[in-house]
Amino acid sequence: MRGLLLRDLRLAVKAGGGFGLALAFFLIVCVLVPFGIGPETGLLREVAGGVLWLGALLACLLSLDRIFALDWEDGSLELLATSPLPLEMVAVTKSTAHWLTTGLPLALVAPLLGLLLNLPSAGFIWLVASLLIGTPALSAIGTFGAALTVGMRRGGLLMSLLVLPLYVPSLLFGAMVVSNGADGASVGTPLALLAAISLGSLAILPFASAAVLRVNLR
Amino acid sequence: MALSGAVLPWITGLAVVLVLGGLIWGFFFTPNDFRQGSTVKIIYIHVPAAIMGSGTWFMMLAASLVWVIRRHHVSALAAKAAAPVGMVFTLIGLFTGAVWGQPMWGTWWEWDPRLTAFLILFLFYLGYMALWAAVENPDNAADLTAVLCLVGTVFAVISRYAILFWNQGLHQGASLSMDAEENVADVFAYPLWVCIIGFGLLFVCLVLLRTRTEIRARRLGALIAQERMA
Amino acid sequence: MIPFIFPDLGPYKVEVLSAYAGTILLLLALVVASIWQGRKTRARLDDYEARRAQKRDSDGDAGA
Repeated sequence: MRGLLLRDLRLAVKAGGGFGLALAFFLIVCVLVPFGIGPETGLLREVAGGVLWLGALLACLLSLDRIFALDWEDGSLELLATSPLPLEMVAVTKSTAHWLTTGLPLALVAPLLGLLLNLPSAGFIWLVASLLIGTPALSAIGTFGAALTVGMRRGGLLMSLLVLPLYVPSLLFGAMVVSNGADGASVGTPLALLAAISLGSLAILPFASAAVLRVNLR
Repeated sequence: MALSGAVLPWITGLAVVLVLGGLIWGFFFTPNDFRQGSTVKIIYIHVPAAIMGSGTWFMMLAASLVWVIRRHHVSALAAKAAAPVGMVFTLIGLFTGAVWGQPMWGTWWEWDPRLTAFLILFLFYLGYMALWAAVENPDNAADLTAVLCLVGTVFAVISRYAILFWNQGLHQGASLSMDAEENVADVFAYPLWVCIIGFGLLFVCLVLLRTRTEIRARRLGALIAQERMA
Repeated sequence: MIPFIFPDLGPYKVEVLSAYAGTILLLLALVVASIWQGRKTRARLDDYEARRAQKRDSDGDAGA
């Protein structure tokens, strides 16, 4: 399992994998937003939290199809399925690797982009906290979506359609944490709910992912 | 198949009578509400469509569970057949809601919890149908969509309450609950009940019809595959 | 015969009528699509089964 994790991480960092791309995409989204809605500081301040969360979510989505696609193409996914490691654990490992290569770096660079968007200083800590707590759910849900569409032609587009509605609760609570935090309001409840969604997704979705992987590998 | 074939014309007839009867009753023979004016007539479409829009998803959930547990092929096909019906009902609910909201709330669309939750439900229907269409092997498609339906249900319910948390909204509460003190007046309620039952039966007959189609399509596919093998 | 009175819809005529029209249109589209698909599939299946039966008969004749 650790071997698989390390291998995935190495592949992601090497070979022009999703690692840098997702971050660059996040940057571009955040740069484009002021062009779309105008450069007024007050307006940007209002929407910064939501835009940052939305950007992180889209950047996450962009790198999802890499979770299983390469393993599917070279047949190593079938090897993994027949290995002693249960497929549920494979799904967990894949989500973890995806989170380490997208969720974590996204959370770490988010404050810089928060500066660009005039996020109030009180919001920075909550931005990082909410992304750290919320992105594991995005990775787990994304792994499920990638497992559903593995091996399909034009699976990427279908996956976005399937995965995005599932992202609604995380996005909602995450953006709420940031905007409440930026206003100096209490963030406890949305943060707790965000954590609940992440933990719930991590606990349940690997089973669903493994189930659909078995179907797709039949 | 034989039973559904025998029952189908009767249900269809009853559904047509009830839907038309309820709508005509509601449209022609009910007074206008003193505050909402004639827009109150939209309720006879909006409420039944909304009930069936969310009800269909639960029927699909039940059918998916039956497929996963008992591997009963017809139930997977019934879930597949129900999805477009549910989608159209959801769309009708959204559309009539928007048309009603324009004069009443002064806006076509309001990011109100119920409306937003329904929009997300609509997206779930789209995803579900797209997944059915994308997978070639019918058994695999049934398995994948069943799992998607289960996971989707969990997230749809979470979204419903998350959205409630996010925005309290303008939408009125239940207008037909048994114990509420503020129900709609009887003049409006009777045709509304007729419409709800009518829409329900319409749903049943459409699903039966579409399931029969799916069964035939599956049989055709199996025969063609058999011939190719031979 | 009862005199037919079209209800007075007041200022919201357009909204109410368009809601009914849109709903009827959508429902009709769904019903027509369902029936059409049903007919088409049924015809194809019947056609296919008839051809198979024919073929089996002719095969039987050849064997006899």
